[in-house]
Amino acid sequence: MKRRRLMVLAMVGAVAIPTAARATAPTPPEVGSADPGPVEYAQDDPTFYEAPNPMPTGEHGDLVRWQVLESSFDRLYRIMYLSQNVAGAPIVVTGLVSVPDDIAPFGGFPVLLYGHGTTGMADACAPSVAIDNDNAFGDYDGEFNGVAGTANAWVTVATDYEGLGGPGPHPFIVGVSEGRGMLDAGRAAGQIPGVYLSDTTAITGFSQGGHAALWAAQLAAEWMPERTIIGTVVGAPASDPAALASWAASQPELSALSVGLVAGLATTYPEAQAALGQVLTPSGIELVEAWGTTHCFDQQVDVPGPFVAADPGTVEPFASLLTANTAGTTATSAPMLIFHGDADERIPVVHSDALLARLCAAGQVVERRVLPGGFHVSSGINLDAIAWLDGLAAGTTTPISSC
Amino acid sequence: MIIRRRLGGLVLLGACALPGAAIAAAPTSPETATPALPQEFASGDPAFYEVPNPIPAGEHGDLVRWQVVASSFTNRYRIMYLSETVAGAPTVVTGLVEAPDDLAPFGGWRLLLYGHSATGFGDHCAPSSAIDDPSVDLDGADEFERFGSDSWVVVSTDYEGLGGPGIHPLLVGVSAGRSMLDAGRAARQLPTLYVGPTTLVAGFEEGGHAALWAGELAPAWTPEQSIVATAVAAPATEVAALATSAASQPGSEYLPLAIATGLASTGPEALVALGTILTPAGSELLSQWDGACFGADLTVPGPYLSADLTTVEPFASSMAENTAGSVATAGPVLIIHGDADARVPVEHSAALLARLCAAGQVAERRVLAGTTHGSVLSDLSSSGVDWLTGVADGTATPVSSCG
Repeated sequence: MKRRRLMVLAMVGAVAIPTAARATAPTPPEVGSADPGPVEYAQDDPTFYEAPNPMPTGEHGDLVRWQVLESSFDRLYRIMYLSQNVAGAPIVVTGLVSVPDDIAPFGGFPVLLYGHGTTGMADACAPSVAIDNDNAFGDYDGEFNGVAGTANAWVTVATDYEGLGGPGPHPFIVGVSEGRGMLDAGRAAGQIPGVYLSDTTAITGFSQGGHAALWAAQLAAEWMPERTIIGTVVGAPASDPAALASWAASQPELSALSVGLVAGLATTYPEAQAALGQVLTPSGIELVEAWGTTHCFDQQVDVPGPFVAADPGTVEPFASLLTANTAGTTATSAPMLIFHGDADERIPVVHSDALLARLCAAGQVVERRVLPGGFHVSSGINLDAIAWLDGLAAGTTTPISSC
Repeated sequence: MIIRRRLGGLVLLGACALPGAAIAAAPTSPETATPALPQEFASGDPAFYEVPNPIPAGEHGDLVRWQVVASSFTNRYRIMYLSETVAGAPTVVTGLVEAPDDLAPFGGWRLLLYGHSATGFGDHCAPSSAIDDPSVDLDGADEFERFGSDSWVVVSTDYEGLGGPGIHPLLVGVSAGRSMLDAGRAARQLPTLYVGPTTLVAGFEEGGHAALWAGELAPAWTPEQSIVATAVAAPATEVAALATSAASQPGSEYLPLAIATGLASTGPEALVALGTILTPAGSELLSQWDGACFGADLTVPGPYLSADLTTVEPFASSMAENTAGSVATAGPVLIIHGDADARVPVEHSAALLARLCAAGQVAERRVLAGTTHGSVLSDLSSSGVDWLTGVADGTATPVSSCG
């Protein structure tokens, strides 16, 4: 409403320009620069993902576009919203919103921000793209569907992350980018006409999304102060990118993950882009190119290994940049819950030992549940996680400390 | 309680020929922080109707409060919104909104502004209050339920002073029109609804008068609300003629007093004049209206006024000014009237049609043989609704009954 009024003001201003001034300035008013508010796109309109030009004015978290998606159960929307990249430039990010098919409770639906696990860096790997694309190679929207179905009293808001689906490259494992992407999605969801949200917000994420969730939790007080974060749940979080890069580089079958990590840094930090050749082989560079455009991480790229020339955890600027993107370094006021399988083949359980120790030292109220025999996928945001959050929302959960 | 004393106070003021200062005097405003608008009230919270003090700042049509009204099939809300009295003072008005229990179509729901028939002067005669009050059986609430649809959001204002503060300005066109239009704006601010700009208008009897006034005022009062078509049944457009015909019409003898009371609510001059023509029976009837709605059996025999209203100023001029349907509007108008109407004589709509035609309005009048005042409502909610839908869909070509 505020925006509408401003728009009216702008229009009145345009009309009120004296004739003389018009004659000397024949250029038409910059229609594109006036903020038109969110624009609805017809269902299945593929132009949804076209980068807006010019970039709409507004605050980070403002909804730019929305589109209804076919869904048998919930009300499902694709969104595009304003955010900011690490350098502070305005960008648009896409994502998914699932709303229970019910009348909103008094005060509105609580919001569950979800950070998805790694799918890749190309636009086709975005959950919001894959969700109604039958030709998608992988099940990139499955996590979202599972969480939305489990958190059935919540509005589930899942960013695609910067550059995934939306314009630009995807800064994989860059904490500030992921955190802002998650938080701004929550703001934007509340601007979908007819979606009535309360301030109650939970932050959740799995794997890469666990990293994103921890960063979102850390940034929330400054970046999205109007929402009350009641709790954060992460499953098998990629909380220590430096350790992950070193470990993955040492495993032939996981070395591609190391390539992804340095490729993510290269999207955001020019010094990393310039130094790619120091840690990647020519095959590794080819892999980065394929990932940036055509292939998702689970799609075979026809390039022979090895991909990694040196452990990025030991080569600058990668070592410092990876360390700078470590998640969970400060305490937040809301409690946290960490799930991790002790047989995790992707992100070793010792990574969350370190995360727990770091958070405890910072004074965070945090519980860790180690899942005996659990693999990587065992730590998804499941019923136990939602029950813990439901309890926090209702005031019946007493957070436990594993410190 | 305030409700029960209102008309009594009016009588006293009129009888003693006091100036209207007492009516204008606003309660002193306590220095409290204004809550952010709109504010949700818990379902069933009776404090909903407590008049906000001070009246919140904002534009007319801004939603002040809303509340879910329990309903099995649809999403139903009670609303309170800002409007403006004829004198230009800010006030709040209440009403009802019903939305389909479904995802809004592309562009948002259509909106039907509905004007209900005369129900009375007491706040309990407001359809929004009666709808979930088992002790009150009110036509106005039943009417609202008839206009629910799976293809639009219906918004039924209670009108100024019914449910909200002040005495209801029955058949005062500017008040009625503003109440209808502002209700449409307010419904579009409900956080739970997505409503597009397309607006349809319907009204029965008093509501027909209100509907035509809404159409007349819309371009200036709510220019963003484009009224596509208006359908009215047995509209009380000829206020002066109605006062004359009702005086001798069994069952309608109270109407001249009701009209005079409505006009007296807007200014001291009419209030003083009412005091000079009010009989003891009329005074008694006014007191009864504090507790009973129009449908109730009243046992006070008339006459209620000692003079024909059309011969007393300012009533004569005021009734003429409040005639509805004097200007052409962009959308077509359908008038449905039964020739067996014993409340609003069928020739009243002949006069309305002639006036609209002279003004250049595209208007169709359907006279239904043998149809009574009460039964014409079902024609409005069937063939009238079909006509409105057809015009909105672009499948019906409006017909003109102008000769």
